[in-house]
Amino acid sequence: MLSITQVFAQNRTITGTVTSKDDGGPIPGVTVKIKGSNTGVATNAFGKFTISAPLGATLQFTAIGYYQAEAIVAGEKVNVLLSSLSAALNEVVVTGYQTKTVASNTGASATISGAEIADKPLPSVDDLLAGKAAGVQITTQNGDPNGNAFIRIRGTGSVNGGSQPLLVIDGVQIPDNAAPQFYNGLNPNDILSISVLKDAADISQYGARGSNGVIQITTKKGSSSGNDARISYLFQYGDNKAIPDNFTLMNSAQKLQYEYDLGYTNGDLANVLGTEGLPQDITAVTPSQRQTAWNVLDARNHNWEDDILRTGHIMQHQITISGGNDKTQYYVSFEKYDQDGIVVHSNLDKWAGKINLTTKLNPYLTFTNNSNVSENGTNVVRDRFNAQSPFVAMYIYNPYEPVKLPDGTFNPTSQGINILEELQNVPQYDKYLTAIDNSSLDFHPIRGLSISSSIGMVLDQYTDSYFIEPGSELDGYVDDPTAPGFKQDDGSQDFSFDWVNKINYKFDVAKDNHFSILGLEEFQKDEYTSYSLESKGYANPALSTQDNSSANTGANSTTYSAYTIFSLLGSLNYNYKEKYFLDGTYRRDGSSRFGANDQYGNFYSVSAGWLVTDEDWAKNIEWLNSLKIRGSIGTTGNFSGIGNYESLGTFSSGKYSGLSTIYPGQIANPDLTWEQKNNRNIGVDFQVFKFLTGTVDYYSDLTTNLLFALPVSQTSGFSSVEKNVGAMINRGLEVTLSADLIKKHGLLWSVYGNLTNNVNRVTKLYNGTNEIDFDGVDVIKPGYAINTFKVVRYDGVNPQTGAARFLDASGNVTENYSSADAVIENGKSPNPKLYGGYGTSVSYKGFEVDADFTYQYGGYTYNNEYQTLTSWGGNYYQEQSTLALNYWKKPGDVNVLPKPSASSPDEGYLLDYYLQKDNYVRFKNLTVSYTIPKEFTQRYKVYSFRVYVQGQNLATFNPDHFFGDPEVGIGSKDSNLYTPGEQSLFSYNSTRQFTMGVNVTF
Amino acid sequence: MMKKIYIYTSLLLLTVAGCKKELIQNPDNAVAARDAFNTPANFTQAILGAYSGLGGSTYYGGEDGGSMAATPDVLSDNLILSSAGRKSEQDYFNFNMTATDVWDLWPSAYTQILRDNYIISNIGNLSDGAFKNNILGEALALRALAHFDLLRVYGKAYATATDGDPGVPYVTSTNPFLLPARTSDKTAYGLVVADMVQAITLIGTDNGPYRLNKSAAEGLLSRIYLYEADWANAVTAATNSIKDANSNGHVLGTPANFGSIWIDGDDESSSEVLFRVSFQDADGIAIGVGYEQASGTSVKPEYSPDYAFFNMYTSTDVRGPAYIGQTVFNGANLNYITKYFGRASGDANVVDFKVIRLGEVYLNRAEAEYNEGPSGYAAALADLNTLRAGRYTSFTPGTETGGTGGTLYPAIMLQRRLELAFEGHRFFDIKRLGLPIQRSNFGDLANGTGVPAAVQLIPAGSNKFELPIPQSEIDANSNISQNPQ
Repeated sequence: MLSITQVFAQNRTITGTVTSKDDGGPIPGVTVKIKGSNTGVATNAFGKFTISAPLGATLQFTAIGYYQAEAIVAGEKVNVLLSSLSAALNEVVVTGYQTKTVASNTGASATISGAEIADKPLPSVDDLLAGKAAGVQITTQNGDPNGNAFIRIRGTGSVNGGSQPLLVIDGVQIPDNAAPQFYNGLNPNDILSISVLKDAADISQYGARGSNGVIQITTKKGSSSGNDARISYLFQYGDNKAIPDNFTLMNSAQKLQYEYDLGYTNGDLANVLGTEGLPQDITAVTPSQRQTAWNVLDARNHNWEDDILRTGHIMQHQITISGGNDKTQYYVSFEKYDQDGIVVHSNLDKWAGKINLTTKLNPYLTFTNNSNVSENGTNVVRDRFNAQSPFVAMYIYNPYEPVKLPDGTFNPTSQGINILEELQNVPQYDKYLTAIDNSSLDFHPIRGLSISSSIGMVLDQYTDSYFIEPGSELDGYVDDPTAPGFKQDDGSQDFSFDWVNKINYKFDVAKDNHFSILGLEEFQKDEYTSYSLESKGYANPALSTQDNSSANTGANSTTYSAYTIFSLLGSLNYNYKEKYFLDGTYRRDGSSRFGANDQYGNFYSVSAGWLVTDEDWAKNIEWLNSLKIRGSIGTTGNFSGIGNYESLGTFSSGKYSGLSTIYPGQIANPDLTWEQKNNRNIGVDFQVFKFLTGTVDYYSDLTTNLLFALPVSQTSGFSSVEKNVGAMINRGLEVTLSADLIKKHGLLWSVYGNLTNNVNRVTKLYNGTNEIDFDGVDVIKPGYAINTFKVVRYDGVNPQTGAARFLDASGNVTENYSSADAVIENGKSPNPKLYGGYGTSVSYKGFEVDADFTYQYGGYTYNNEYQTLTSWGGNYYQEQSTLALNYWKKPGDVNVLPKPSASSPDEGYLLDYYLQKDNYVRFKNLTVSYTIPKEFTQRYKVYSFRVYVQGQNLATFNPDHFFGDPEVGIGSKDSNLYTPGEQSLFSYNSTRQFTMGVNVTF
Repeated sequence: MMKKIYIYTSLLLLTVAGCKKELIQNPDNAVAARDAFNTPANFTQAILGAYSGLGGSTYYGGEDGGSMAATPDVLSDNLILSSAGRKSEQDYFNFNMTATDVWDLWPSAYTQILRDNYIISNIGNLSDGAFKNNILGEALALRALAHFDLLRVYGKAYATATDGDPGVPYVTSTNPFLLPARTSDKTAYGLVVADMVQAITLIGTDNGPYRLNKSAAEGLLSRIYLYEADWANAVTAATNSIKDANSNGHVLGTPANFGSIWIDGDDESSSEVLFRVSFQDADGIAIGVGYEQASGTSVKPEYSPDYAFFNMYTSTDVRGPAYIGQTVFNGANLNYITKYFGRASGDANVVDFKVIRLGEVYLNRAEAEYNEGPSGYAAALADLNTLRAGRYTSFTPGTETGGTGGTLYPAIMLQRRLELAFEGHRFFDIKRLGLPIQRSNFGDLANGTGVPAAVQLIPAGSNKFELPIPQSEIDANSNISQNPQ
């Protein structure tokens, strides 16, 4: 009532200036209006405005990037100071199906900008994420150029289900099996930003697929400036080498002495003795005869690593073109990336191309298409725990065994196979073709309303060709002598489509209440087909296609498998004055994977945020630039743990004597459903003293309905049935800080760091079970972290006899090893207690130096490499490390290995002696670059010219003397282990790269 | 504008409606249990599935991680570990087995038993007649055989077992959630015999070389009775087996054709092999790998025959060259087991596994006849001579005598050891006779020098004769008691 009278009071002409509180400069484009009215004016280029209003009226000042201000008309001049939001708060964040500003985001997501991962000598996106975001633990599997990293967001959320997060590229969900290929197939330089979604506010939108977190990649789009297109060419060249070992292998003299002490005469030595007419037993000849024979072998001493490893080259060419106007924007890129592996015959050959196009068909309708195609071809090097893997062979071949025999043929060695011969004559080549194409139509009929429909198609195609050349050593071992040579071609194709229909309406109620409602329907279908063809009988090693074969092996096959997901999502975002935020989501997923009794799941989340520094009282705190408190609670599911048909009881078919058979395949479980997570998060985002920005989050995620292969008595003919039982909790603290230490006179120095502490505890297993043995070295037990190690305690050596001593389960010393004496080592598991990354960046007048580090602390690994290379005599016939020489020789010796014996069974023991801390700090990247001043280059029509040199994986700090590389993946790739950091086996060594590059933009 | 909204909404509704059906996806390579046992063809497929269960990876289809072909000889005095090989099964050879590092026969055998039980429990779906009887007979015989294999590995020898000694659970149900305890040794053997006896009344006379038939089942029964020291029944079963085999055209091999058995070159319709488990190249199972692998022109042995045992094959014994070959590997002269080296053409180390053959049946009968007492000595000698005539070129019948200090019994046991070497018998024979495992001190080279066995004596009655039950069974089933080691 009162206001109406006021409005009809006398209107005056009010003028004023709006200036910025930060630097005093004028702010153009500020909307000035009388509070409550719809009409307003804008400030001009000088920040000045003129408006008609009565005395006593309240004027409102709003501008993007600034806090809203109000002032009461007390006279004809009204000057106002606006304080800017931190630039950070205005940045746009992609969080699931919506885009929000950092200010309005109630979730804990982390954003990694494309610039942080650009121009590196690593072809895969997942490796590049290491150390970049709190809560995201990246373990690089190994140095394979086409390898993949393990990604764990906020701890391991599942035992038997998958633990890898969901990958979404430009809005399209990628099937879990295909995700590793897409990390390798994308060109990292095409990426605009990566959002890592971690808490319920963001991941509950993905319902049954969200519980391991979501990695959302957005690729670059064109610009709407209307200027000429930007054309950019990048060239990078460098080399690639294995990281040096931190242990030494025995040389010939040492190995021969060791073999003699064990009474073993190796085959080569026996030959030498035989040709000299001596008995072929090194213990039966005189010392001088022995030394003579040793000298013959000593002369052949060499290091197998030198023959098997090499320095590989890296070469990258890339062209990107981006441009557009306000109607159409485009971004096009092409990349060719070649990297030689560190082993002879290993390499990666990558092609990638992308087109992103957005165009306005008319003022209401926008069409977008994002496409990406890439092909990765790689010569495969077997990565498994036997002599057919070069990474094992180079450590177990004896140093006195030559690579080639005197007649020029490859020496089969005591292992029976020469890996260099096998790499040459048994080639295996893999090709991965990945393609993604997403088309969407967005319709904006009225302000605030948008309706869109998009279809994303995803293709992941794999072909593998494996050829045992006729006449090769392996051919002699395994093939049919009447049909030598063997070829196997197999492949698979995974095609899926993701159809999303979305409606989003943004509206305001009473000016200060802002609503956004989203409704969404999504349907996904994935079809997987595979084939395998093999044949034998190849006359010529050069002709390996199967039309050259002479005989069928009869083992050809094809398979088919499919799943579907149908989903509905509703979400509501509300804020009051852009200061108090409240969001809620609800998602309903149904899938063909779930049992008939449990086919649909419901997932929800509620989250809230408070932009504290928007409060009037907070604006007076000088040193507090921005502060937001937020929290979320919700549920998600883990869809990736279940196979496509696991709830059905079935009979499978096979063959016997060439005829068809059926046999029981699987026990039925109609109650089978996804694993569920209850996520809770509370966090704070802040900026203080204008230079220090940070985020702190505390989370607690409880997983229930854990999928377990419930062991059944093997007398049933099965070993297990899949059931949802068991629970596990992950709690942690994430801290991210970044600071601009110096920002003056063109010198910029900034530092960043993140730290995550994650604690995992299993809380419940299925009825009647207290402990599950896992992979032999660790257990899953309520009250302990998942994969807590359980091993036998080693108690050194009996000084009088040299016998090994152990502690039995009660702690008494015994000289008998029994696996029943294994005890749980509380607090020791592969899960690190702390992990993260930190780094710094200095730039001055075009020069820039960036350094990045990653670290891990508190995890343990069972070091099989250590056990194999320092055996107690049981591995006498293969190479050992020099540490194996430190064994008991006479009474009184202490701090030594037990007295060795050729029949020692220690290789089958599981001892805490081989359980090592794998703490490390890795100097991941150092880049020194120079960008020629733009004023200079632009005279020659070159927009920018940048040169750089960089090193990747430069140094590792290994404080606890871990034997081998402390960054442990899953042992060997073909080992059937899948818990990162649990066991070290021999694997593709980690590599170090040095490259130089040039980036020219026109 | 409105038209566009209308089209949009109807498209949306269509997708919602059409999708419900898509939520049901069925596998392309499996059938539901209720569709699996309806027609005779289904039952044929199921019984063949049961036979393929015999070819399980730690059973008759094992390679170098535990198998019927190799492990019973690894656990005996027939073999010496070769230093030239990959040391596979070394821990078994040294009798260092633990519940987590042991021959995993247990799950393979029970997988096979489940397949038999499904057939037996669904057999009512077939109409009465010869086809139904034959299938039921095969399933019962297979079930008996698998339990028998389990008993001779994990249970005590029948002759020395007390009533309380545990055997293995005798499983006849397809319920996957049972937690059975170990049936007593003696009771379990009784159930094995009962199943086999019933099988013999039902099974057909000829199902082809890769499936059981009446004479094969009777032969297996003679083996079971022998293990039970039930001499009279052993003689009867063996006699029936030989009679039924002969009337079906199968006769004992001769020195001329004996070698062809081992390269699967024998005439299957007249061969002395009564039942063999089929392995084809396409199956990808190479049972010889437990013994050796070819390497160019030489052979890399995992195990060589014990030198003392090797010398027991005389120069006229055709089994010598059929079972054992000579090679030079890495400059050393070595003997290797060539019994499973492969066929004349085909993948290396792929051959069928011969489960029961007339050679063994004759030896079963000879031993049983001898043990019946002096009245049986003549028959025992006759059977021994029949066998030897089929194995030695230019053979004149022997005249060994029985009784204490006699030569007949040692001759029978020698022939058994020579005949059935490397065929899944030696460990079990030593165990049932209550003897120790005594290895020689000879080394692994062809002339007896080289590295001798690290463990050379396992005393009679040692706990090592009953293998530890796999730890995963102990963990899953609290009703199972472990064998002391």
